[in-house]
Amino acid sequence: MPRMMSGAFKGKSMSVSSLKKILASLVISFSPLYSYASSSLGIGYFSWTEILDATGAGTFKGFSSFYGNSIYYRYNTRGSKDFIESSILVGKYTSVFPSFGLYTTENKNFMGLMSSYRKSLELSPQVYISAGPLILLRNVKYTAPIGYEVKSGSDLNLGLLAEIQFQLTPKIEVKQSMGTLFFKARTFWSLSLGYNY
Amino acid sequence: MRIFLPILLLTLTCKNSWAYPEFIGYGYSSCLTCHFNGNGGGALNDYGRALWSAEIASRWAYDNKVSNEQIAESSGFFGKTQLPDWIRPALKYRGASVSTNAFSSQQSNKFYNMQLDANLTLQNNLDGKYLFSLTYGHIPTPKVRSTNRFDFQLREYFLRVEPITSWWVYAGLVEKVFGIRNIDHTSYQRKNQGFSIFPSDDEIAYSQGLILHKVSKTWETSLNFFTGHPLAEEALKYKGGSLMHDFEVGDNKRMSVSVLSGKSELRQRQMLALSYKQQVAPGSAFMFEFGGIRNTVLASNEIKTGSYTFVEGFLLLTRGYHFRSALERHNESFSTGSEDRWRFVNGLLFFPLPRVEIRTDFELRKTISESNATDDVWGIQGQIHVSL
Repeated sequence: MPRMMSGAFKGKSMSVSSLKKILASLVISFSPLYSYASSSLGIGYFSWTEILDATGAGTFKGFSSFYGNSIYYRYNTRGSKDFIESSILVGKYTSVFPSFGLYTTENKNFMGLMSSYRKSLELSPQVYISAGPLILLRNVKYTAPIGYEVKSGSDLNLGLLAEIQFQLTPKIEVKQSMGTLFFKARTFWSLSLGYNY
Repeated sequence: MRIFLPILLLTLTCKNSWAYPEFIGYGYSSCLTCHFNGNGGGALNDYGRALWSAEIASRWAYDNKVSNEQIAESSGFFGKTQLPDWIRPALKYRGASVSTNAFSSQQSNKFYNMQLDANLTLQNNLDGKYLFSLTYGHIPTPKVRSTNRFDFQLREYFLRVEPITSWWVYAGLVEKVFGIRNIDHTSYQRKNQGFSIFPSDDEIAYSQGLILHKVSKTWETSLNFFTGHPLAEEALKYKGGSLMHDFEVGDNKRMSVSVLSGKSELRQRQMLALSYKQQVAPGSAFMFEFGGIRNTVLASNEIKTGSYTFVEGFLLLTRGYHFRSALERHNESFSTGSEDRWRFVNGLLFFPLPRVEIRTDFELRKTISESNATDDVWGIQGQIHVSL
């Protein structure tokens, strides 16, 4: 019985292995750049600030601070040294108009998505730096006083992101990111810990 | 052209530094390797001088025919001229330029003469079983309690004895033992823990005291009793003790646990930290520290318990030239509504010549809280350090 089970698992294993080989050959056939790939999954802490505008009877400026935790998945195309990464952002935003008596502070939850495509440079097998464009989507809705419209940044923002990534072990990475956001926003930064597989 | 870059950087802008825990990236995990003070900082011993010249600093000023050994031989106070083993003088200067609120209409620039030290170390022989080290020097006038008495002072003095092999005893005015001795004294990992070099806070890094230091190949432990800075007002003399145990968890991977408890007439502070540092590639390192701080104002019995985080990546670009990226957080209190102060520092750390260090940092400060949102605040800092 054990031998049969062993045989059964062996057969299954071979079929999975064969499938992997076929898929790998397909990937290589259609996209020679992806000759070798691995993935990373991790968690992080992020923050950025957006410029807050209230328009109505008057015009007021303030700031919205976004911060929270992220879960990221990165596809590492080592052959072409490209990183494709997407993150789910879950956090809070606090908005303040320092000189606007009617409307002062909000502290609400938000969710967002961020993706980036980065060219990387392998400085050593343990250290990578990478840079490239990013796209950031987030949904926020401000409670505006009567007669005013309040908004910050942009629901869809674009920017540039640079990262330095350290492999503490072949499986564990730490990365620090810093970037700019083009539309009414300031610097984006994050610190993440990830697992390579 | 070769000299252009260093001269350009000399004109740039900063911070103070004492020791380089990042050098675990070069395989040096113990401060005792390079410093007379085995817990780091202060004057370099002969090995430290040679290491800086022959391994860390750039070779651009030397012909290829000059070997690293020859460079090391020139690292003494008088270059190749050897002094008797029992005497080791040193001079140190640090100048720093700081731009605060950079890239804004409120930008202000200031140059500080951070440090001008003369050090003399006397030892019975090169092993330094019996050693006395004294440093007299200048530090900038503090911002808050502005008093000239601190401008020039005895910065550090200690008697070091090795009564039993690998057991060291230090007595004198030395930096308190706790956590990673980060090279940036304005770091949230040092400033909020009472390791300021300015006597503007209730507490500063240096204190009179006694340190027992045991060094082994795979671990080291320091036990420190301190009684306060001799120039501090009596009410501000911070007395207590600290313990730091550092141990190897892999090749060029070290972890440490630190505890500190101290009390002045005004305040009590208790701290606990877990630190980690490792080599990630030759010349490159990663460091991490997480700590808790419990502050009690004795008059009101107000207690605040907070925490801090420090993460640094240190990257060797080419010999003598490094990139540094640090992220720091400090929270004064765990209570709801207490703000998190963040600091993100990216910069370059160069050793273009033996005895010369140049540093530039771009710093982003941000405060995160549930009740406030502020604009990003940038700073540019630079430093020139010459150590003879």
